[in-house]
Amino acid sequence: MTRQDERRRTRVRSRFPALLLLGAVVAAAALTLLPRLDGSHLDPAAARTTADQAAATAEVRRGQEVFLRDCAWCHGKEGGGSQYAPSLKDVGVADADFMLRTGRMPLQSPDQSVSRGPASYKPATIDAIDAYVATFTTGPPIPPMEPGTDPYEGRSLFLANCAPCHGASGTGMIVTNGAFAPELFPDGPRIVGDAVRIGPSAMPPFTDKQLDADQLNNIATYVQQLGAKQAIGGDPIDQFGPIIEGMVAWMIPIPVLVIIIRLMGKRAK
Amino acid sequence: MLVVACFALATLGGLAFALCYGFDLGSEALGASLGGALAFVGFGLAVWAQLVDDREPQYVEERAVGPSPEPTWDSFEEALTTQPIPRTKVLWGMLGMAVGSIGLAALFPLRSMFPSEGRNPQAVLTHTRWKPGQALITEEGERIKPDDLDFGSVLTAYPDTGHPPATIDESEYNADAVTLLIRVQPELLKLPAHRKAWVIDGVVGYSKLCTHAGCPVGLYADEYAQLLCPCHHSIFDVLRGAVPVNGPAARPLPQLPLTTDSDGYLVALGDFTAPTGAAWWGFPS
Amino acid sequence: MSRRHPVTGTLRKADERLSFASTARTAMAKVFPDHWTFMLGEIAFYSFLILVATGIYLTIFFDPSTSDTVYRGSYTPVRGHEVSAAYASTLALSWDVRGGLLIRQAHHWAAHIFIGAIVLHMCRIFFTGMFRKPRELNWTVGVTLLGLAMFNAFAGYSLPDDLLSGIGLHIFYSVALSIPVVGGWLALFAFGADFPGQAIIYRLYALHICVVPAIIFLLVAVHLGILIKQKHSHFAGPGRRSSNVVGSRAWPGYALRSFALMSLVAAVVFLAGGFAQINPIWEWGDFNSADVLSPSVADWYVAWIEGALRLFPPVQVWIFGHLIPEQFWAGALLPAATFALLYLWPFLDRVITKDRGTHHIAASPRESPIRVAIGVCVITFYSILLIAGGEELIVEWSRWPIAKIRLLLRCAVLATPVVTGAISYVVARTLKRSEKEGLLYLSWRDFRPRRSRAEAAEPAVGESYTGRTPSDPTVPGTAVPGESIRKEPVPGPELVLHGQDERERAEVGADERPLTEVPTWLKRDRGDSR
Repeated sequence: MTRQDERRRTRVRSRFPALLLLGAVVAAAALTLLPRLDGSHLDPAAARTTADQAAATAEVRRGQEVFLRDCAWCHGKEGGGSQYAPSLKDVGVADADFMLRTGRMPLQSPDQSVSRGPASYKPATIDAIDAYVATFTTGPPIPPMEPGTDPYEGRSLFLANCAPCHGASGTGMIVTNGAFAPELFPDGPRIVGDAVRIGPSAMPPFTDKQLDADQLNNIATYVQQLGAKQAIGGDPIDQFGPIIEGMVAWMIPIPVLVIIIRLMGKRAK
Repeated sequence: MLVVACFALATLGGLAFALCYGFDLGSEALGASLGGALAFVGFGLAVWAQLVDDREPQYVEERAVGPSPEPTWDSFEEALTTQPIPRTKVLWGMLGMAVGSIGLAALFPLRSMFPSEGRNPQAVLTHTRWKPGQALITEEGERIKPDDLDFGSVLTAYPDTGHPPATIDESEYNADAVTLLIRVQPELLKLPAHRKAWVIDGVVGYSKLCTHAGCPVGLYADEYAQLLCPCHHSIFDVLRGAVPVNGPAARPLPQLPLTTDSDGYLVALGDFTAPTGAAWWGFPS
Repeated sequence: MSRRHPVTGTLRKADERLSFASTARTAMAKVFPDHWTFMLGEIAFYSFLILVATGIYLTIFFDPSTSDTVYRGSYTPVRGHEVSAAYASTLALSWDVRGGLLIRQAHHWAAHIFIGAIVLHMCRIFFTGMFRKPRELNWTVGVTLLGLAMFNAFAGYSLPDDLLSGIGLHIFYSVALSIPVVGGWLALFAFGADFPGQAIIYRLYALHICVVPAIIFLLVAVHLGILIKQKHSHFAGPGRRSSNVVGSRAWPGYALRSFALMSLVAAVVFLAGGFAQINPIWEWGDFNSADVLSPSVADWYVAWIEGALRLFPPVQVWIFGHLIPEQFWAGALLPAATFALLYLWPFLDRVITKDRGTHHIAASPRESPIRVAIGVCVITFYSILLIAGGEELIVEWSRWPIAKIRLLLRCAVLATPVVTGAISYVVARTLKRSEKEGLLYLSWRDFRPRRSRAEAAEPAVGESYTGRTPSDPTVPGTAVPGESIRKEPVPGPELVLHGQDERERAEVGADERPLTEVPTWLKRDRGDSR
């Protein structure tokens, strides 16, 4: 090898680390800059979206974990249903959210009756299960609920659509053979929204065309007012109406007056 | 003494009521102060009465039993019936007739209590205002398409008279035309063929007024496809033409024949299949 | 008291013009018997006065119009929106007028107490047999008062034009429609239009504040007038006869007690009105003929009709092409039959117990077991109808389907009155025969059937040998012109009547209240006794 070849080889060898370094820098820049090329480096929320997407996947995985542990034995691995429970393929996320938040689900055994109670999971876990159910179900999504702006509309719509079954004061009422519309006092806006869109068990559903998002917000806000806020003038006596009022009349004022005259009058000898 | 204390407390109670009113403390405070004041007055009076009673003997008073003695009655009857002029029977009779006639005549102005128009109950009760081709609207006045309802949904509909029902003075808008639209799976309906033709995409229309006593039948359980009337709990089976399956109603809810217009909105084909609401003597057989 | 005393001085000045001293003296000396059950009618009377007083206050603020008006008060969900003037003014009374809610609620609670007291008073009259001659007219007046009170209460809670009462008015309309032949005309006449029309609230208002209270006032005056003329009846006891009244005198004893009761009734009414919410019309919503709510019931005094409407099966009767619809039987026929039965009861009682005598001594209920049985049977029947009016509550407690509850109630309403009637008959008859003081003193031995005819033949206290309560033997003969003369021997004066002479003999000296001590100013001739 001549000294020129040696120098050429040395030049190539001495440039290689620089090339390697340049390549590394370019690659690093590409990896970090490319996602920002859509301008998201200017928007912190979008920066979070990537983090959210990562978190969302984590949430879905968490939800799937709980679902497979507690729900799949009845509803099937991907909500396909079984001989114990119906399929969840077309019920919508709102249905799952409603059932979980009102404690109606999960059941401990297939023949346990579905009834309201405290929720079995923390809200974050319910969100996770909702996220997982969203991956395989079609149907009403969870309606985005906001505080209503028109109390009059909320009240009018409530009286027209909800009061026949739930009672004007939301105390809950008989519906038909065996069914019972529950009382509404403990339900927050999200549960109200879910229930209105899906129409759980005997309740009819109400579509966007029948009650749009604003109307639903107003109704949910009015429901929050039921119970305590309308109880002026003394004890509302369960707000059940004339049945209870008549019972109270015969159990308190009238007996008190009878006792009074018994004390004041005399017995026949 | 106890009585003095009671009345003193009652005086304070009256003052308390005035103060509660002045400071707007709410009806519980007002009720407590007024009720309390009256209770103390009552209690004081009761104790006072008891003190008096303890020291008083029982008194005896005589009572007249039986009718007045014969001579007394005779003199009364004589004074009542005899007059110096003869043939008073005729006069009394004619007076009776005159008073009777005026009395009956005085009843005639009551006729104005009837409706000024639509006085004949048969005409008023047999038909509603639904006309062929009349559009169905919601309470806000919007027209309805079958897809506006989900399967299992209910919607209250009215005949389109040019004004949304929500804006009409309630008392001017008579109730008998109100309709309930329910969407069911069409294959589950068990109606005769000509009635099935009135069901559009599973949307069936029934009168909302119960045939028992006229209450709006607002409760729908879509799981059972049953309507429940909250007044006397009649249950109607929606899939079989809203026939009553339990309860005091005897006749099914009349069905409104539906069709769609060229734009796909629901319109009525005519009036209900039967008079709506409760029945009466002249109900068509 | 000297003439310088302010009160008596003023009265003296009035007496110079009116000369009332003698009348007032007699009035103050009137004797009122003392039993506590005699005060039930007073509860009704005082609650009526409170109704009038609170009602006048309400009329100042209430607007009976069905035309729409904008509500501008403090109840947020309705503020700025149109509702009927009747509803808006009631909202304003409840939320905006200071003290308005108290008066409104007190008015409604007083109505409950009014009708409840009338019912209890009527039961007392029934079980003590004090609708018998000479008090049949007063019984008729009382039954009319009950009917008027129920109607006025129904009209009253329908006035605010809210959804709950509006539904009740629709039922009222449908029941009116159901009456044969005239039903359609009657309904249109009452409402002035096909339901709902614009007139009904005005008409109910006129009836509720003017016509019916005026008639009630008049009838109460007649009721009390007859009572004053005939003098109140009293229970059997020492020295008590048909021809006298034994009790406290009007002033000061009875008046103080009566004023005490008036204050206490008012106290209960206002305490209830302050502490117990009633009829929150802002929750029920304003009336809309397409809307409905649950539970949809009337107040209890109408709820028995609702219960009957719920339980009665769907019976339609076609007569020559005309229909008697299913709501007629329970909605119109039953209430009409109820009041017909009540009006006719004195006559029916005479037929059943064959007692045509004049009575001023209130009977102990046991003296007529058949009357007790009928009374308990009827009360049970209407109580079960009332329970049927509260079916929603039963469903909420039991969670049974409504069809099952309806079936149970149907069986109950037919079977239970018979059972309770039979039980009460046996108990009353046993009490009568055993002569024990009260229910609590009965023992099982008393219920055993009689062993010998001799035992059975011995008349119980208060009965003649014919087993019927005789009329007062101190009055020579009770036959009046026109009444049939009894063929059974009228017991002579030596027969024990209600055991009172015996008891009198036994208790003289033991009784602290010497009945022989009658102040001279009370003694008067029979001729001018009032």
